[in-house]
Order: sequence, then structure tokens, then C-alpha cells
Amino acid sequence: MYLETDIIKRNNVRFFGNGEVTLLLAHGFGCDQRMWDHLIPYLENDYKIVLFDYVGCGQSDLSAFDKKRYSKLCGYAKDVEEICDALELSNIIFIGHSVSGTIGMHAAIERPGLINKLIMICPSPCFLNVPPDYMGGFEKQDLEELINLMDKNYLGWANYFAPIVMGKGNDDAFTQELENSFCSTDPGYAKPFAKATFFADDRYLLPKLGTPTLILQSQDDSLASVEVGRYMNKAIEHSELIVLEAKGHCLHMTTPEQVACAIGEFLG
Amino acid sequence: MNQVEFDHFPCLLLVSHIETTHLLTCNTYAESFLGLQSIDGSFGINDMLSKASLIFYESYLKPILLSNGMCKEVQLTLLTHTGERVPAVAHITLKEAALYWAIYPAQERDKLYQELVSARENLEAKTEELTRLTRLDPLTSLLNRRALTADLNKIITLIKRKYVPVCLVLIDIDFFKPINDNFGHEYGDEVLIKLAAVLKGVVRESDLVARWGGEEFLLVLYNANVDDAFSYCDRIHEAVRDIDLPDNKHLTVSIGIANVKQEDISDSEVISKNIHVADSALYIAKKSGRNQTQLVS
Repeated sequence: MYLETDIIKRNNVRFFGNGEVTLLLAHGFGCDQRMWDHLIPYLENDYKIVLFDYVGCGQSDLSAFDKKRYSKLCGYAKDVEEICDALELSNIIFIGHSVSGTIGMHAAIERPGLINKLIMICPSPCFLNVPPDYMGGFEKQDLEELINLMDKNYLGWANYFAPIVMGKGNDDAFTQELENSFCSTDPGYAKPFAKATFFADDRYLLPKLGTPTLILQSQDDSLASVEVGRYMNKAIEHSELIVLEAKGHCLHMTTPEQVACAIGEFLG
Repeated sequence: MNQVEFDHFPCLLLVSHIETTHLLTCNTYAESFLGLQSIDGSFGINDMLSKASLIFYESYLKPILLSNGMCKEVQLTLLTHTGERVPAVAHITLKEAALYWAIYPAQERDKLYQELVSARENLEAKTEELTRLTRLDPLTSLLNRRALTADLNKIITLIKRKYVPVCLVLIDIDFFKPINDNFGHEYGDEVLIKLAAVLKGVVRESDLVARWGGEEFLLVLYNANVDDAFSYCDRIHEAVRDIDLPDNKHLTVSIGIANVKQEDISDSEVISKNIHVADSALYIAKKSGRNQTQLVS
């Protein structure tokens, strides 16, 4: 029901860079496309880069937020498909952080030919513990507490948004607000994304994925353990697992050079 | 200020490494709160935050700290050495590879926040329910006239940008007055409810169904041309026949169709004009013996 130009605006799509191959970079739960700022300098000379915000995140068109669609990861995958269609892209390289690895998997299975190769940075197909065979790391009550925490932090941060709501008189202040709010916990949009992300169990999709996939894990990640990476590597037929000598869940921000290097080698 | 003076502050002051998350140093308040004997590099912030707080840290706080260098007034849950969960408020700054934390336990403030969250949830649930109720016809639970008009306006805005065929289908129960007169108004209401169920069963998710008033119903068929609309109406006539009346007759309906033409959608009166067209077609269906669908071309 959307026109091409609407999709570009709706998802705050930006594209730039050089090269034949197109990389679509998909941010994870919590923030927006600005998460990629650290990694881009290492990629933009060799690849075409497409950045976007999922609807409900960053500077996307919030009026396009459909509670039902965005309560499931396949709804977010639809954003990816629609952006590719709007830009007439196919055979792209999809790079997804955290939950976006799973979102990319949805899109790749749903639309063969759209994604040529998948690169997942710190992914997890299921954050929940499903004993005895699978330990995603979290119990249901942890994730319920997270939703509550997001609510409380949004209250705490409400004043951050005041100048935007009041229609700002000072451009610098306005820019500053946007800078600060690139990770927004506005419960109306962030809670459905949190639930879609942390209550999903998409392990059943792993064997269905035929796309060559690179799984980049860190040695110590409290959200996606190395075991989860190994589990995915075993279940995805054409996959390669690299555990970088780094720690944390935001490898593309903390160790962008290593991540870029792994991407370069995988793409050949 | 020396270490002794830092130790006098009634809050947790600590420094951690951003990448390894290990605790580098802290004041005695933090030491006793967290039950640390000594700082030997084995204790990390993962050990002092609840799992939910950890997700929050990784998904929100760390990216903000890496981009902006600072987070203020962050609500977290701390784990004490006895395993107790304590709500707390933190200010965090990043300098080189070290995070500087000032954390204040804030149980009372958390209770207030919980009340605010609950109050807001209550209000949201009530607003949602009220909004829902203002859109529905209480008898049939179909959209009411106002809600359908609002939704149809949105569809018209959409197809102005990219045309998609839309048909309006106006349905009127045949001989409804005698049904009410002969079998009572309660029975008449039952018939309306049954017909509503039939209509809901026939349409797709993208279509609209409303009780337009009295015994009249209006469907908006999205992405349907006249042929599609006729086949929908055939199915309606067929399904309606299954609604039996006490006098061994079957319920029938008359239907008028209007298709919203591309050249008309810029007209500000497009909705009322097309409803008028559907109404004229319905009139012809009635005049021509009822139990049929008509289109005025």
C-alpha cells in the first residue's frame, strides 16, 4: 500500500558508497542506523551502503507503526523486503546486528534471490532458555522485567523529548536531543520490538536457511553466547562461525576494524 | 580528594572497563553493598546487574555511552551480595576505556515509578477500550457509520496516491419490517446479528464491514473490481439463504454496488456520491423484485 518514495521516507533510508556490491546494514533492538557509524568508514570505499531504521525506531515515520505487524519479527523482515523492492535491489549482502540476524533470515527465506549472503553480528535465534537442549541465556521473568525497566526509563527520560514535543526554538538543542535519543525507549514502539525480539524462538528457521551465512560472535557476550553461535553454525548448512578476539555485544561499535576485516574476507 | 573521602559518599562509586566489563576500583559503600572482599579483576558489572538490566545495558546504555560518552538517570536493578534485588538510579560517563558509575539505590523512587507505570497502563487500556467502543455498533459489533466513514477516508487518501479499485456494497434486508412485526424486535435483532456474522465471514481482512443504520449494511471491498464485487455478493446471497425464518422462509437481501472510479477520487464528495450511487442501485434491486444485486453504470 506504500509507494517507493514513501518507503524511503518511512524507513529513513540512506544510501551511499562505492562498488558493485550492495550491503544493507540492519540495526538491532534498542537503537537505530547510527549504530553503524563506527563501521561505515571501513566499508564505504568498497561497497554501496544502504542504511535504514525499522519503523518505530530512530527517525522512521512513527505514523506507519502497525502494532500487529511489528509484534512479530516477520513484520520487521517485511520492512527489509519493501526497502529492497523500493530501491530495486536483489542479491544483496545483508548485515544484521543481534536480532537483525534473525530478521535477515526471515527475509532470506521468504524472498529467495533477495539476499545473496547473510552476515550476522552477535545473533541469537532465541534469547530464552529452553531446557534441556538450548540455553539462550534468559528466563521469561527476566524479559518481563526488561519491559518494566524500559517503561521506567522512559519516564526518567521523558524530559529529553520535551524540546521536540514543544517545537524547539534552538536548532543546536534540537540536534542535541536527537543525538541523545538515538536509543529511544518510547514504550509504544520499543515494547513491541522488545517482545518480538526476546520472546521469539526462531530456531526452526535455521535448517531452512540456504543462504551462505557468516556468524560473528564475541568471546564474551552476555546476550549471545559462543554456545548460541555454535548452535546456529551447526543448524545453518552453509554457515561459517568466527569468534572474534573481542568482548561485548556491540562488536561493530567497539571493534569495527576486526568486524570489517571478517566481512571483507567472507565476501572475498 | 583521596580515597578515604570518596568512601564517605553514601552511594556506589565505581569504575569498570568498557570492554571486559571488569570492575577496576570502587568506594567502600559499593564494596559492602556488593559484598566484595577485594577487587581482583574477577568481578564484573554482569555480576551486579539483574539479567534485564544487563540487556538494557547492552541494548541502550552501551551504544549511547560509545556515541555520546554519557548516560543520565538510568533506572537499573542491582543485585546485592545476598542476592537481593535493589532498584537504583545511575549516572554513567565514559572516559577512554573506563566507565565511571555513580549509583544511588532508589527503592522509594522506584515504587513511585511503578505507580506511574501502572496508572499509565490503566489509562491506556481504558482509552483503547473506549476508542474501540466508539467505533463499534453495540448490537452486531461491526464498525459503526462514523468509524467506517473515517476508515474509508483513509483508503481514499491512499488510493489518491496509487489507484487501487475499491467497491462499495450497500446491503438491505428484504422485508425486515414484517420480520420485526411478526416475530418481535428481539428476533429482528437476532437476524441482524446473524447477518453480521455472515458478512464478516465473506470479506477479507483488508475490507471494511459496517452496520450503516437500521437494517442496512455497508461493505468496502479493497482492491476489488466490479466482477469481484458481484462474486462477493453472490456468496452473500447464498450464505444469507441459510438464515431460516420461523415461517419456513429464508432471509434474503438486496444489494447495490458502486465502484469508486479513478477519475472521481479527487472529488471532495467522493464518499457521499458513491454511497448515493450504491443506494440508487439498491433501490433498483428492490424495485426489480429484491434478493438480487444491482449496479448503476
